[in-house]
Amino acid sequence: MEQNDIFEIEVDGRKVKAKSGQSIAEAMLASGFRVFRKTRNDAPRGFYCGMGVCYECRMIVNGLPNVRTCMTLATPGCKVTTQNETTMKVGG
Amino acid sequence: MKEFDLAIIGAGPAGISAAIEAAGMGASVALIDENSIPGGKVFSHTHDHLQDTLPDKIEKRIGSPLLQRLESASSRISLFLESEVWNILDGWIVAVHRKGMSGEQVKSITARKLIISIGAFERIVPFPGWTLPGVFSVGGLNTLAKKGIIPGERILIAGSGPLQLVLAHHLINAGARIAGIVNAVSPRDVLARSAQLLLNVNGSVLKSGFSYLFSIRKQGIPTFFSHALSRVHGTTQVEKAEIVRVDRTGRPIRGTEKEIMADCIAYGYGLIPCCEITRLCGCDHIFDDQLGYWRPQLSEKMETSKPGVFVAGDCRLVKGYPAAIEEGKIAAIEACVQLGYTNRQTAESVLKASWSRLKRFKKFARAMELLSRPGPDLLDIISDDTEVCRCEEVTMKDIRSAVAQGAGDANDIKKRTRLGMGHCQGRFCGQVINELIWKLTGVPKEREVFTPRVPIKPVPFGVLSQE
Repeated sequence: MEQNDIFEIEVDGRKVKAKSGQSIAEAMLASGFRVFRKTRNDAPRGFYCGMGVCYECRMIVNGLPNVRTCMTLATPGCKVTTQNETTMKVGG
Repeated sequence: MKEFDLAIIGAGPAGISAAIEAAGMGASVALIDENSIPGGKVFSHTHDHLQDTLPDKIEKRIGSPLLQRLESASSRISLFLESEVWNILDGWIVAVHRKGMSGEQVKSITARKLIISIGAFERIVPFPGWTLPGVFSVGGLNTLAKKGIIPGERILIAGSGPLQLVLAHHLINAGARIAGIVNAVSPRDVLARSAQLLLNVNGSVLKSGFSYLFSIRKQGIPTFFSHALSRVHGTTQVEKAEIVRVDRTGRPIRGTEKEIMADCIAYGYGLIPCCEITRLCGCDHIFDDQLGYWRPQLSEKMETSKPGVFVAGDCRLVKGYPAAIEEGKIAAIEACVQLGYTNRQTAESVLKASWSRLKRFKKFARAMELLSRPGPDLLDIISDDTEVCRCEEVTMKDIRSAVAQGAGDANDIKKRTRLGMGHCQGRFCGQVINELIWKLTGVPKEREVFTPRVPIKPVPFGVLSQE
């Protein structure tokens, strides 16, 4: 894939533009997303440290929960879902 | 299991420099990093996103050749990217979890020597609202700004330290609107401490500094010295900020609160070393009262109290990439002497030159720290509804009741409230919990850290069972 290739990813069913080399979180923030996750007490959380320490930006990526979107490259067609920990049975 | 002479954890400036040096002497090297590209926070954007401004040119001048040298040494350096170290056993066995979407990506490697170069992260003081989406760490927002991503219309930079200027510079370059810069240090102290900084920097850092200040002046950005963020309002994301005047010890002066409209906030009080891996290895650490953080104790050859475990870069002393590159080199040379790839006599002559260059950086680290460290009474900003532990949503009120019920130290609070048991494993709340307990009990005791627990980063159960 060439640098600055533009493609789409899917966030909660919405099409979001991403550039090659961008993390999922970067693509989301560039498109106006702020809330990435809900805690088990239903509090909204988003991107915070940007370096894989805080885990606040964890989401469900292609069915896998607890993926740090700040550390994960966006790939064409990847499916990202807000992680709602009020209803999650494991992890969180 | 793959075997190497040397495993280097963290592929930032220090780690890359160490890898190039050691591979050049003939050692087999594994260079491990969590990210998908090498370079660390400072150099991973070097090639594409930097602008034509002076500080960015300097960064590029040092970063680009380093990354090129890494690439040309690629036949001799095994690069493990998107790879997370979650355990280290004596000997040394490094347990690595390769992230990524598919399973079956678990690897462990063995190495005769280790160099740990995992860098630094944000120093924080929690405040009510700091968990709201739209509040970023200064480093976090800087990562975005360097790539031209601006997650807000009105950005407020708050906290302290020289990184504020670096962030403002990148934001301005990316076309962002900065609502203000809030700094907890008084203008008098900023001036006096900056003088210390100026005395101990090299020319290029000095030039970058002036260039940062110039771009901020030109934009006419309002600056609030002796102020701290006291609260952030919003329901699902940041809507506005409240700042308060603080005295020289950091104590908030009630009645001086002001509101600032902002939808994006960058917050932090400088950087502190990441010690989780050196702790896991059982290396001795000291709390440096002058610097206000824990750091591993090292010999001048960068070796920790555990023979064969070396440390280089900001995870030892926060002072930036030129010094990190130098330290990576020193650690690699000493490791190679021990491994028999070079003799001590040859090594000593190179090391001597490196040590003398490093001396200045130590003073620089101290000066940086003076500009960043908040006054001790800034902790008064933590109201009862403040989440001190973001991960487990443990509030100041929870801590207060645990102390009232007899909790006397950090590990006791952890057991009673789950503070420090979440995904970040106490990396943020662990910074303030000792002081909070001392404030509540009125009795300063010995400083405690949470006991390191494996896995040091959360990994799926499947990974644990395969090891």
